[in-house]
Amino acid sequence: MGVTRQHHPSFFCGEDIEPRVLMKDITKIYPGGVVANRNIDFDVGRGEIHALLGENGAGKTTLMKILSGCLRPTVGKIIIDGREVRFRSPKEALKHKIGMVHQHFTLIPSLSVVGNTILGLEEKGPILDLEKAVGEIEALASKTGLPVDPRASVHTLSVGEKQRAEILRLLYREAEILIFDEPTSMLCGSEVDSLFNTLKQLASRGCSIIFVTHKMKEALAISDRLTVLRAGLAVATMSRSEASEEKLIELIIGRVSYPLAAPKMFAPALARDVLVVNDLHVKDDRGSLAVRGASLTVKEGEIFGLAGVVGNGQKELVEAIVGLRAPIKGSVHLDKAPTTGSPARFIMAGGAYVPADRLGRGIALDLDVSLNSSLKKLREKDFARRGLVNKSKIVEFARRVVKRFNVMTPSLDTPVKFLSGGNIQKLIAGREFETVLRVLIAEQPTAGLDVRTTNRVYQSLLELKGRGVGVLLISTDLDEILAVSDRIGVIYNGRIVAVFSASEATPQRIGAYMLKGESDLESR
Amino acid sequence: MIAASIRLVTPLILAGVGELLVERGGILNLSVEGMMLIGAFAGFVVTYFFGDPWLGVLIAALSGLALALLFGLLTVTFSLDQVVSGLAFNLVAIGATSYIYRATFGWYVSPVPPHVNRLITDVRLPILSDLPIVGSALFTHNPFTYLAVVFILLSAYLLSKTTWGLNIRATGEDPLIAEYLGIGTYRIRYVLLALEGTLAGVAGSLLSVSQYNMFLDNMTMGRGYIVIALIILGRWMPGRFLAAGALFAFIDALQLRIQASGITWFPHQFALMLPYLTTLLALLLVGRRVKGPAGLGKPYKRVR
Amino acid sequence: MKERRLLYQLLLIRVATSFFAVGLTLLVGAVFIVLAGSDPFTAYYWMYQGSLGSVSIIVETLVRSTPILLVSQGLAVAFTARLWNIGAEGQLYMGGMLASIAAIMLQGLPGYSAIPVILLLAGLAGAFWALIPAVLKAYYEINEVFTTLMLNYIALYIVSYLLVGPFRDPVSQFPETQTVSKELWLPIMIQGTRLHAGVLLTVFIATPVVYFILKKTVFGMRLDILGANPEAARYSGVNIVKEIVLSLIFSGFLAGVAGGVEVLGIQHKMRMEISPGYGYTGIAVALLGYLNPVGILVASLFMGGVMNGSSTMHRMARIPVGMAYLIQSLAILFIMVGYLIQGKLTARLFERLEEHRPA
Repeated sequence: MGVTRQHHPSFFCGEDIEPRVLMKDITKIYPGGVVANRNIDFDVGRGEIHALLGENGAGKTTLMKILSGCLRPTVGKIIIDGREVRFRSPKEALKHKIGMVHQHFTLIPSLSVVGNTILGLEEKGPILDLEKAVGEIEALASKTGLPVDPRASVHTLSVGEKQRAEILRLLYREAEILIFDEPTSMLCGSEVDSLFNTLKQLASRGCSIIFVTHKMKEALAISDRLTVLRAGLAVATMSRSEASEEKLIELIIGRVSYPLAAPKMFAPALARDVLVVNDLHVKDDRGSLAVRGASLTVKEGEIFGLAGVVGNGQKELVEAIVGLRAPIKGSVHLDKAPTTGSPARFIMAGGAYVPADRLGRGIALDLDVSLNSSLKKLREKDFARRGLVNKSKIVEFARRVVKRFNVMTPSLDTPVKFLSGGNIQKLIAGREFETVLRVLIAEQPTAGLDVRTTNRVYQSLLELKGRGVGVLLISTDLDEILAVSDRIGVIYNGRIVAVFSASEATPQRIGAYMLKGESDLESR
Repeated sequence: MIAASIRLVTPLILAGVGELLVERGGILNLSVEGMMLIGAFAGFVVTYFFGDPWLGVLIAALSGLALALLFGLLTVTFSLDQVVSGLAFNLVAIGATSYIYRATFGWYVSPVPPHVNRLITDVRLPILSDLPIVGSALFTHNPFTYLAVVFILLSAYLLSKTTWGLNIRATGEDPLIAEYLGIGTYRIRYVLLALEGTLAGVAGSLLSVSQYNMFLDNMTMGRGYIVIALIILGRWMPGRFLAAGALFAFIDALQLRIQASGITWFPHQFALMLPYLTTLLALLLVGRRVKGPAGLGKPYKRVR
Repeated sequence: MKERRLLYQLLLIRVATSFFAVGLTLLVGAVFIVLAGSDPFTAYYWMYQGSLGSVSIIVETLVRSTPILLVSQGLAVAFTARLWNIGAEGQLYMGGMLASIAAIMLQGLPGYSAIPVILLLAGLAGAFWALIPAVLKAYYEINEVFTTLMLNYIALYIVSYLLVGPFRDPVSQFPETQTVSKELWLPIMIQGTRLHAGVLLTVFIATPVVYFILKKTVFGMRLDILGANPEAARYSGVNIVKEIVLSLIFSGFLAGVAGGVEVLGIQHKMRMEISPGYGYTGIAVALLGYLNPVGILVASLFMGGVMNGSSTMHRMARIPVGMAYLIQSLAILFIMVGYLIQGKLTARLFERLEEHRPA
């Protein structure tokens, strides 16, 4: 990813100034016994950009939730501008000028930007004065370099614009301590650069910025200081000059280990096409054309990574491939069998799908673990002979699924809704990996998983390759795609605009296609 | 006949305004039917024993309010399934009102059911009702009709132009985010339900104490459900709901006219059927794949 | 085995909360009895006597429960998929109407061949009546609560018209059809009672069939999934349209058969009074039984007992007949409370299990 190191004039002078935000001895124990934060000391100064690093589950989000008022610490104090404070809600934190920009935006899609911005503000009288607010937002937007149309409905905005709207909302409420939780997870290339510019701008005006991430490169590029959390403890705090990738890796421990072996195609010359997508045209929920003639093929034993900025039609493309959305033109063939528009045929032809929207789509919360595991196997002969269900087969299969990624559940009859979020993801991933026969469509398969499970997922992907299964990997994590795929395609504006083999792919080339649909780096 | 339509539609509009607001706030309240029925019953009983229809309406309003708060307890505080709760309430309403009616007036319904003598009378708006042709049709109605129109206008204004309206809409779309931004979703829902209960109780009482002068078992005959269907047809907007209601009222008045006119070749059962058939057809034609506020009907529980 | 114990615990919670709901119902019912000026103990004593007092009375309770049982078994199938069929009443009426018409037309044919045909036709009438809302829901996502309800009223009016018009008994002054000829009456199984073949059909055939469908077939599992999360159902290849249509017309079918059973077994003709709200009671019973056919069996016996006992209660303790309906309605309300408590207890149960599990 093209993140360059830049030196910026820093408002932040160092440790001789009284920290703006001081979190002292913070400990958080969840009911059930999990210790998420353990005696953490954390401080941020005025005009400082402070990165909070750590792997998933290290406690970063918990700590920031405490700071932003969503949670209360079990032990410890928060001191803002020299005064001790206690927050009972995000609203109260905002009164102390602390606000958080979440990874998954907290905007209401059907309302406008201006509506979202003034929602919940107490100072506003009973009568809405939208025009005035629009004016104020526009002024604020130009002052801070965050162009957004206040009148637009949120659901029409791009991911970058939504993030800007979310930031503007905080700035509108005069937040000066801003927490960014994994802000680049949905952005790419130049959007990241513009975000970083915004951050620097805000810092230079005196805002304190906390940047939560698990990506070291970004942290090193942007921050003045870095703090590393591991297993609930703050293991180190250092200034940028003291930090280096190697040091950080050592501290964070447990870097995602991408498979080191160069991805090899499964008997490349003989590999058949196992998924053929031909000239798909698909409409989105609002009736406009999201996919405009996309074609791609996945061969057996290969991992085809699909890169692209969120909102360019991936969602609709995947839905069409899996059969959940009928295309208005074009076809999908799995191993020569036509499966267009029918999830049943997709599954029967040997397809599997790990959806990005796991809770909404992939699982039935009220039903138990064993039924959810066998969700897709019900058509098979051993599981259902002449319409009758074979309970023992289901249980046996469920055990396999649970074991694959080590799902923690009291029993197989537990309704899935009682499982933790991470375990539910593991269950879904496990189910799909166990049921795939020819093609696996994996949408953000490692999102929300801890490091160990993420590694297991990559291992499983390799296993699948060895078995001759084709994998279509859709991910916003370009590092992941680059590391794992044999071929990489880029989707832009509903079309597959480029396909590279792993050796030809560089972040710059891919980035260019992702953002502009073409690359001037092409020599052709 | 316009006058008849307006008279018939008043209870629907009155109850509908409340339900519309509640649904915009995310709660699918099927128990409107029950609230109206209990309102009809309470209004009748009180008027019968105390002789004052206005007192009847008042008590009806209060009983609707009580019911709504109870419903709120189940669906807001306890986040129980809204559809099942609403259906349950309606069944209870039918059973309870029939029972208490017989307990009060005698176990066998006599050929001439008890009735009240004093009803809510119409009010003539000065000047306006003297207009030729339209005057008496449009402007001589019982005060609740005017109230209903006022409420429609108020709710339209409320939803689009006030902060409360914004909060209500946010609560209906995504209560999780609304709560995060500090909006008291529970409080909003309770307030809206209370309003709806009061209005529905009044609406019901209009049936027994204004349109007719008696109480019959299951008097509302599905009108509460029709209200919800009309809201769907009106795409959850007050103005369109009013239009849908007007159309329905027209059919209803038509149906009564047919019965009264003594046409013998058209069986009166078919006339009675018309309102329901129309609603069904309307849903078929216009109600396809309509989606309301994103959070409608979904149980939401605060996590802390 | 740990899993077995868990299942028993879940069952225990369910049964306990059901009993709690029923208990609360009787309690509040007692309040109403007091309001009516009577003594609840006497009243309930007579209700007990009137519903379970002797063998023949128990049989009568069974007879009364039959239509409720039939309807609610069908509703259990629809409700499992979260398809709220409020139109069972209308479907029942259509079934009964067609049954009486068929009975008149098939007069003269021997019972054992005609009766099954008549019942089948009754079921088909009910199924047809449910087909319209089913299609509207499956293809156009139109909420089935309203469509089934509207059709309820429409059905009632249609039948009412038919009973005073074309199919009216020329001899009688009431709106009803001719009496069905004796050979076509459902045979009485125990002399001296009203226990007709329909009762056996319902208890020994319909109930196990529904149980089988819901618990043992893939169709039942697919309904489960559809009810829990329609998106997940689509994603796993379930043909949503087929499931919606099949389950709704199945519930309509059983409701129609219930109408036919009442016509052939009890009333021996079609009248407007054929159903004191069985379609609605069925909803309550289905919920009370937690959508489980066995639970529904118990719950419908309870309701039937209440209905049977209330007439005795009326004679002996001067309690109004409407008490039955009141108790039924209260039961529904308290089921909701029961669901709530059940949910909380189940959550607590799993929380405790999670804590004991080694990390």
